[in-house]
Amino acid sequence: MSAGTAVATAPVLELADVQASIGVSHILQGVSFTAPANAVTVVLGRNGVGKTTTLRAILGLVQRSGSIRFLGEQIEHVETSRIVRRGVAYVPEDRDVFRRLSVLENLKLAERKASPHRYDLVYDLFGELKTRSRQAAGSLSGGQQQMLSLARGLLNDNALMLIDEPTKGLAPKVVGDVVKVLERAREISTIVMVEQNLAVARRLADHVVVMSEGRVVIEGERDLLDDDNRMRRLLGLEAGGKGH
Amino acid sequence: MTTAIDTPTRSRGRRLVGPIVAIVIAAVLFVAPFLSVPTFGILPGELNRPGSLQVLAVVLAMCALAVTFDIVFGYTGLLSFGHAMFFTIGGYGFAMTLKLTDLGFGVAVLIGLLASIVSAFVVNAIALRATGVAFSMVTLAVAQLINIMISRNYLGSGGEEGLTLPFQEMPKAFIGVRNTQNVYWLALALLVVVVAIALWVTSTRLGHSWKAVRENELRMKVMGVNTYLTKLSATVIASVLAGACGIVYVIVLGTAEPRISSLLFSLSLIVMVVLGGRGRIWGAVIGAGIYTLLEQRLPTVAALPAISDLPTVLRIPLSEPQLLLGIAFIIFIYALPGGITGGIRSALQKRDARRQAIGLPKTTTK
Amino acid sequence: MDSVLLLGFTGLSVGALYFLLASGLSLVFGLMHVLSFAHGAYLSVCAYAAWIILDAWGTEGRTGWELVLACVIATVVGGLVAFLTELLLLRPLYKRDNLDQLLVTLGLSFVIVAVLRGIWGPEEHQISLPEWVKQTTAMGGANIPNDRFIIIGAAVLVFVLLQLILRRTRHGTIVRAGVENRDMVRALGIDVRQSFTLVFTLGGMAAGLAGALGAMYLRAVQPAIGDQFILFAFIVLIVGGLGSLSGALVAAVVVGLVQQFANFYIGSGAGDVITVALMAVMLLVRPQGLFGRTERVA
Repeated sequence: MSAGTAVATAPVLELADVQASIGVSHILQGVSFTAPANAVTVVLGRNGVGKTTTLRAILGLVQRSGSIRFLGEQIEHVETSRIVRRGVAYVPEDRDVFRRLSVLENLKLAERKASPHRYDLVYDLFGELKTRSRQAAGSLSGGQQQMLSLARGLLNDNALMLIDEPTKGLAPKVVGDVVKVLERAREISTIVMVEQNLAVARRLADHVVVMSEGRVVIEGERDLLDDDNRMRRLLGLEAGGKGH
Repeated sequence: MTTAIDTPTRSRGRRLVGPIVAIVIAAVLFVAPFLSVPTFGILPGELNRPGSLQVLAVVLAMCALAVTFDIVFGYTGLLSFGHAMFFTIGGYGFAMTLKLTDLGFGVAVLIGLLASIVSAFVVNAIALRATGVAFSMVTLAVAQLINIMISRNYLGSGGEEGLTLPFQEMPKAFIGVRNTQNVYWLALALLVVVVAIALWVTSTRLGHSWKAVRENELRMKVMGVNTYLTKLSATVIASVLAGACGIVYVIVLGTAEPRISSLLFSLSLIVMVVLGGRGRIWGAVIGAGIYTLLEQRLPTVAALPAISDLPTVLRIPLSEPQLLLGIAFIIFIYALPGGITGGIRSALQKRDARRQAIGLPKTTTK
Repeated sequence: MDSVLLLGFTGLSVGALYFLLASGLSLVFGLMHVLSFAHGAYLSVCAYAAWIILDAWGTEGRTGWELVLACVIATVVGGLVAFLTELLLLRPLYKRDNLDQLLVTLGLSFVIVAVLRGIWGPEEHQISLPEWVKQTTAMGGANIPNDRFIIIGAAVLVFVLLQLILRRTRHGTIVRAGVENRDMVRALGIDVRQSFTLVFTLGGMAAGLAGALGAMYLRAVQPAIGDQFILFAFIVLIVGGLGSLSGALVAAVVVGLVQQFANFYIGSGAGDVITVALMAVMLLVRPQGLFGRTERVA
């Protein structure tokens, strides 16, 4: 279940000197890290260092250069939808569900041809989505939208899930539910997750990447997170483990 | 330091090539009415014949209008589908005052200008509240409205036949075929003045802020600049100048024609500027010059017996200049997005790269 | 009362024509972020196509089915030309700025109108219609020209069809999602560019039908026929909201009715002025339009 048993497998994702710009802002200045297979890699860092941009760069949603290898193949020149079809799920910050479409339409849209669709898993994890099938996604609560967003990511067989701050803005109880879902997700997919919530990171992380100013400053294993002082310095945390 | 190889005197001399060419052309244009030179069909007769001067006058007035449009579209990046409405308002304001009142020529000109200034402020102040495509649609809507009003003869604007200028009210210098050269010089003076103003304004800080808005408006807003005012200044200045162009154009033609209020006319400005090169004053001049010349002359060429006997496939492109120009426009977007001037510039830059590679001084600056 | 009824039907017909053109423009802009001038040109081409067909049919044996034929052919022609445009002219430009794509549609409309003028001249060509179309039906004290019913019926049909496509097919769902958030659609593994073709072609078909019906309504065609409709289609787009089909429908009804009633009761041309003013007010007060649902309104 954790990285320890899967050392021999090649990493699912390798970034080397990835640069990315949005308009005239040069956000990523050379990001390099690896995401080991069957493990959860958590990306941490203060606001604005480029965590979200890193995920978007992997998918090709922003202008990027550098080397990005997914399952051993270079994807830095591949178009977004083709990358996704090779087995990547994206759960964006701010959920990004299609508000005017129904819950069911949101899910069906996510179905990919070459993969079995895990509706049993999804409805097992997120019973509410079944009862609210016909409801417009925009009328769901924040927590429910997050569930929908995660459900879309879990629907297909994916080698990699890119998840951006899944617990942002959610009530503590809901955070707990999301974490439970993620613990199930890690069993079926390699995960790269951006997370500001240190407590959540500590529960899920196998591999840790810390970013600052568009670069990776530390890459290591789970035990990095136990060094409270260091974490506080790197992430600008207050006591208690919540980032800002 | 990389400048050791660039010999200062040589590159300074080279940098003057552009302005020198412009001055030479301006000089030639100025003395055109005295040059009895054959034009090989480009113009109706020899250069100094009234027919040729008339065509040239129209071309020059259109070049001036295109320059004003380039300020809005090329420099500031605002895609206005209705820029010609200010041209129309100036020209029609002048013509209507002259025809429908007896306030005389001078007052008519003043009223034409006043109408342009007022409408420039009012229309642009409202239209710029919208951004992007919505702005473009608003400009189109207002321009079409003016078109509708003119075609329905509101306020005596003349309807489909247009408004002919009453020759009794016109200064004697502009009446009659013999005085075509005066009208021609008027158009030339207009172009020179408009180009001079445009060159000056775009070199000021205000002008640079226009370009900055085109490149990255968001960034400017973030820096605290009131981009609405920036865009308003560009459009108002350009619109007022366009109004002045309208007055001259109506004088050149002797009538105010409703076609200048049409959507097609406004859109043709976009074509001119793209053909010549967006964001460059000379681009607008060249683009408008070629466009208007073809538009004026091709149909006459097509009417020649030799041509009208050609099969339809060949005849139509000649009788409909818009066809060729539209196709050229499309090709340019793919192959030559910088227009003619852009193409010349990149050709020169390629030559510079080659020259630098073997150690010769450059001919262009950035 | 009877003039109200007549104006009402006329307003609805005019609105119907605006809707047909605007529906395509709205979806194309909502999904592709391109304001297509080409669709106005498709309207013109198909207006001419309808005229040619009706003219060729002659004045004998007019039952009304030739109208249907003209409309069907116009729709097909519109769709075909749009399809080819998207395939050959627009696709190579998707990596470039939306402005360049807009400019190409502009250039295309230039060329098409020039071709129409070159082949058939700048003058108006009358369209002959069967008698029963030109006749009226008495309703509630008013005499409603029959062509009004045809036009309104056609627009309703198109609206229903488009809604069915949008809501009941996967492609339609993709379009609706793409109008909201194109990036997320790509991030789900869907190549939106196929939807571009679909939307552009559907818009072309609607524009083609608008051309045929518009020609019948005006009883004549001339090269600039597209211009008249483009103006009001744009007003409908802004008032209704870019990217929203229902918005286009509601706005088209409003614009059509306001235009006709104002033109009649206030004075010729007043309706046009008021609808433009309506557009300006909407922009100042609620820029996304009544039902706007695109990620960026402008």
